[in-house]
Amino acid sequence: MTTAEPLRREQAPGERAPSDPTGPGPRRIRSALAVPAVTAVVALLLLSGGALMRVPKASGFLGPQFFPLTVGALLMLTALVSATWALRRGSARIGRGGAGGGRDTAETPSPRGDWRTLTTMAATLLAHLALLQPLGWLLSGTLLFWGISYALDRRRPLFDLCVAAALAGVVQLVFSGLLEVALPAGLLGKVL
Amino acid sequence: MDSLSLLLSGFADALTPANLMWCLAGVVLGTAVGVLPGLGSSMAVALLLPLTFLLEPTAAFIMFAGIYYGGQFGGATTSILLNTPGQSSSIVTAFEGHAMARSGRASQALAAAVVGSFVGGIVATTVVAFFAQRMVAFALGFGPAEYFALAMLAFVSTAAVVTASPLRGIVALGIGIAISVVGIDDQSGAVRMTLGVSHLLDGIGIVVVTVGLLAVGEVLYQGFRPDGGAPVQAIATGTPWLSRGDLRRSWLPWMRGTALGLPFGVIPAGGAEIPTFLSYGVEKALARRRGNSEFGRGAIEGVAGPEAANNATTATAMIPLLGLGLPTSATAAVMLAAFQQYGMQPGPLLFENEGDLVWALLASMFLGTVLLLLINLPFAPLWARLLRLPRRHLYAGLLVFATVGVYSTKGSIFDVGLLYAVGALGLFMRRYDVPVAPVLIGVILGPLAEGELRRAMAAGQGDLTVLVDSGIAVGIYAILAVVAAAFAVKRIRERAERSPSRKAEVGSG
Repeated sequence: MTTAEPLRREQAPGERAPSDPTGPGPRRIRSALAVPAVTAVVALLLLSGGALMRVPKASGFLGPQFFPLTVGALLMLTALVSATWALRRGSARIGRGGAGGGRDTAETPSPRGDWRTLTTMAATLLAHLALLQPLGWLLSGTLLFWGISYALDRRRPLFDLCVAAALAGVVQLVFSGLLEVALPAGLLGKVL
Repeated sequence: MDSLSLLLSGFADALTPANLMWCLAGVVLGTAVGVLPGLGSSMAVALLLPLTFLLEPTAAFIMFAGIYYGGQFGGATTSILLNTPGQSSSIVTAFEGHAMARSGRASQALAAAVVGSFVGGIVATTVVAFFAQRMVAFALGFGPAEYFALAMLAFVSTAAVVTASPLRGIVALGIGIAISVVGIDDQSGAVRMTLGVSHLLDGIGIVVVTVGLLAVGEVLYQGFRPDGGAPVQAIATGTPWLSRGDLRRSWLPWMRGTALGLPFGVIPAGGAEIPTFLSYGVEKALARRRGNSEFGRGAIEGVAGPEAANNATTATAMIPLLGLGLPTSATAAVMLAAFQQYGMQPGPLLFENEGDLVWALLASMFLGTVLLLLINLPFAPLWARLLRLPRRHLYAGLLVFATVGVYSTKGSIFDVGLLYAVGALGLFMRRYDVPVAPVLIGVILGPLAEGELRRAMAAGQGDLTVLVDSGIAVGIYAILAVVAAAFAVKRIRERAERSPSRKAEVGSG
């Protein structure tokens, strides 16, 4: 899974002790290297996948390997170039004592983020994925809505729970009643 | 006059009570999503895309037209009342629109925006209806080499020209193409990049990528970003109306904005962003010359012009989309995904094979514009009330609909997991300012570029010159070169303007 990579990758710098986000230093450089790193991972996946691919005998002129390999190589080149730029820019800034140059790095936003909210959201999504089949839409959909709104604002959990249950119910009614899409019935389906 | 009779038969298809209802539902839903702070029409279209698949094609595309226009209007509403544009094309609307709202002229700003969209939409849709067929006649001569050149043009212009940093644009495009490669290669049958996961043999659905990047990514980013908790203050509004004086000031900007927007839809230059800025600049310069400029304090011309340009551009984007299968903006890319989901490939053959559907779609674009004016002008205060829904409920609801929408297309929990994974990618890209639109272009046009390249090379037996064998292909590459050169000049000029100010900053810091 290529797409799980970014989350893990950026978690590493974020979990360290938060320092002054505007200050220069290795932390800043690490943040500037995040995009080249992910690019390199995608490029590696394309290159290795292209090279190890089992190619059927009759596969036309360029074959199925050509395109992934070319795009992979291009991406790898992009990753290397932008990593070099990021490193050079980073060391230049430290040399100047961090003054100026702010405009160039406006592309890299302040590295501090709200990890607590994000972790709650991620846990909600994972729980929803795991519970959708066994518990059914009504319960896991309620959990999904409640978890996200709780993550964003913790002040009125009970009220949110009522809204969540009502919305999950309405969605169930609209989808299975009006649009004839079967959402997982799960536990409640067996009881009722 | 052939187009006219075809268009009339399109109206006959679109004007059934059931279809009108779908169009209405689309306008309402689209406005509802577009009004959410920070979300615009491409989000509305992406989020409601899975829903439309539950309908038969004609109804689905009619609903789509409604969603699209609704989202457009919703985006303008939040720009004006909240100063939070949902997409790059309504950034300009926020400049003067929000200034007007602050000085108590919110209803006039909304009216100027709605009527401007209406004018731009109607004029541009008429142009589409009469020119799409010519484009088709032209495109019938296209072979693999020409299509490959077109895809390259779209790649270069979306990745390098539109985004602030070309390197990041290329990264986004590459990620998109990488996603598009996953699954069984349809020319050779080889299994590619599935990492042994059998669910991935069919590839990663465009719906999953679109909804994941746009909707799930946005929700995660809202939770993550440091200033996410800051409450935004919505300005109350009355029913939109324009006095005679306002009308006199607005009608010329509407016309000029429309004229500016029309050509930009046809070329792949990233949608409505450039024409809206151009229109804003023109109106500002004209006001200064007249000597009574209100720009900066809420000038109605600064809302009327860009909104008309915005809608004109997005409507004429249908010409390359329907005629060539070439999306010129993120929204158009989602529309293309919708066609592909129904097993149709936009392009010259679409008008022959699915003529009824195309003309019904064009007719419903007219209907959507009219419905929008009828529904949203009187009910704007009601929509503005939606802005007061608690923020946590807005985003939780967004995630619920994204999940259900994706689940309902295939009934697969694996897809929901994939949706969340793509959402994590969307969060990453938002955090590091990597543009999202090139990913969508890459996912959608990647297979086209690859397929046509391989077909061209097979026909030429490896001779590279087949790619530049025809006048049309050479012409497209020439446009590409011009676009790239213009962009390079612009960058150099910007850098030259910027460097003195940076020296000043360093000096003071």
